Amino acid sequence: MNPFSEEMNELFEKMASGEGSRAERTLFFQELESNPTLKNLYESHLSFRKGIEVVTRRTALRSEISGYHQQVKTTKRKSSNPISISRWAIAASVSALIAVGAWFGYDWEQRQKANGEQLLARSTPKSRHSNHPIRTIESGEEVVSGTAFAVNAEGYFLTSSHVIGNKSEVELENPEDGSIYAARVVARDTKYDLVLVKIDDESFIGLSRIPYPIKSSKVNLAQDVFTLGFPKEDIVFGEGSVSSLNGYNGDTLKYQVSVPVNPGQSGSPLFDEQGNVIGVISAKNGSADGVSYAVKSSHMIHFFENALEDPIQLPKSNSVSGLSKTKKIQKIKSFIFIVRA
Amino acid sequence: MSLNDLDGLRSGDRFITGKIYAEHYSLIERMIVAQKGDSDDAKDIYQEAFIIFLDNIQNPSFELTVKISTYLYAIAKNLWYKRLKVIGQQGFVIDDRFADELPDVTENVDRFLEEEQKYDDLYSGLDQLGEPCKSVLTDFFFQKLSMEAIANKHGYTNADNAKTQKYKCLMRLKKLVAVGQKRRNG
Repeated sequence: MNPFSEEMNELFEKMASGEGSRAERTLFFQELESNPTLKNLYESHLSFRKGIEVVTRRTALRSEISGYHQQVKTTKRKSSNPISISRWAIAASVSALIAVGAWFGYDWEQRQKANGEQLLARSTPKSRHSNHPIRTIESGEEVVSGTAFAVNAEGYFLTSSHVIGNKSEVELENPEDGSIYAARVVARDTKYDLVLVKIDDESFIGLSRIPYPIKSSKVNLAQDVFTLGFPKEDIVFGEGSVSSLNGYNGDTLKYQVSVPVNPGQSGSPLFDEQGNVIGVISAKNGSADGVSYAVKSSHMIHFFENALEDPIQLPKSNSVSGLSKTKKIQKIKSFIFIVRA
Repeated sequence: MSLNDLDGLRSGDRFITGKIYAEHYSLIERMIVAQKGDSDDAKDIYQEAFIIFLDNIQNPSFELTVKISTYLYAIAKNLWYKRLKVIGQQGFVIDDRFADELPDVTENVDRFLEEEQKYDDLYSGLDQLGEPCKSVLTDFFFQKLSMEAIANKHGYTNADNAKTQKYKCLMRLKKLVAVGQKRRNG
């Protein structure tokens, strides 16, 4: 039996909006008083419709306001801000370093998993980072890099656990300004191939509001998806669709997506068209092109719930869904960093 | 500020809303940039403050006792200090031109933020709902369009069909919200 029929919905709507004859209304409210179940149903309906009103109003206002912002003349970052200065200074020194050493001696270590999945961490010889401003790494040691994305403005980032291995300290680079931050591992789950790291660095002042929520709702076959990650020092956009609801050999932890990915893109967020995170890129098929695997976001939520002693607040609303694709990506990309371990 | 401005804001007049939005941005930006923020933070905080402001003036019992700029400044400051606290920093006051006349907006801001938290699942539910459901529900509950108008707009043959569609959409949304709540509560 349907506890909340269409007729009841119409009746509730009628009463809630003050319609109906006086006799009808009197009868209804008398009935409510004598029937607690009905009263409960009616009250929860009232609070639900109020919620819809509030949420739709605020969502509409948010998208309206984004439009107004284009009329605003913004002053650029003030150089009187001491924190900004140091961030910009770091940016300058680091980009010089990268420009000199880039692209020589790259060794694409391709770690083949026995089951045909190829993980997507990228390895580079240490030398390029020998003058590294933040972390000193023994010479000869190999640097593995991947992609990490912000899940909390206080500096929590998620990436693939295979990028980090069993290290407890990593570094994160914000490629937009070149800042490099020290970060530590907060939680790790190798089953899901997820690790949460937190920036632990005085020079980090937090992020602005994260524009993408993490969705664990149903993902549909053939749904369009896109990803942003760092197979090289510049961010790379890739798009495709969900090609299978399970991963390699029926792996229910992952989706299969037709997005081309390369080493360095492990840990990249996978977005749906609206810009909601629906997965984390983790591997690709070693023998077939354009067959990639992403850990499902429902497992991310699970990971956040179980692997953390103190829960962190995850981004909850989507402030980019109304934007064009290019605007969306422009906004999202500020929250995607390079991780090195 | 003129009375007309407030009326315009209340009725959702886009020209007036846009004008007032643009008018006060630089004031807020200066405050945030002077206090460890950058222009992205300023934009973020200002937009949230502006939503809170618009939300509050919709409330018939709300009375604006200070200038719009002062009110926006108070809300933005409150939000920015909250964020600084989250990231382990403290706000400090430089040239706080409104210090004496700033209204206490704590209650307004906190109520708004509590609601945002409370409606978390509804936000994601509506987001996941997809079309035409999202528009049907928005048109009905927010735009307050009649069922005839909704039937017309979405191409349903009559108001009754639109009602059925609305009911189905509502049930779907309820289900999405329930799933969200369940996930959150383990």
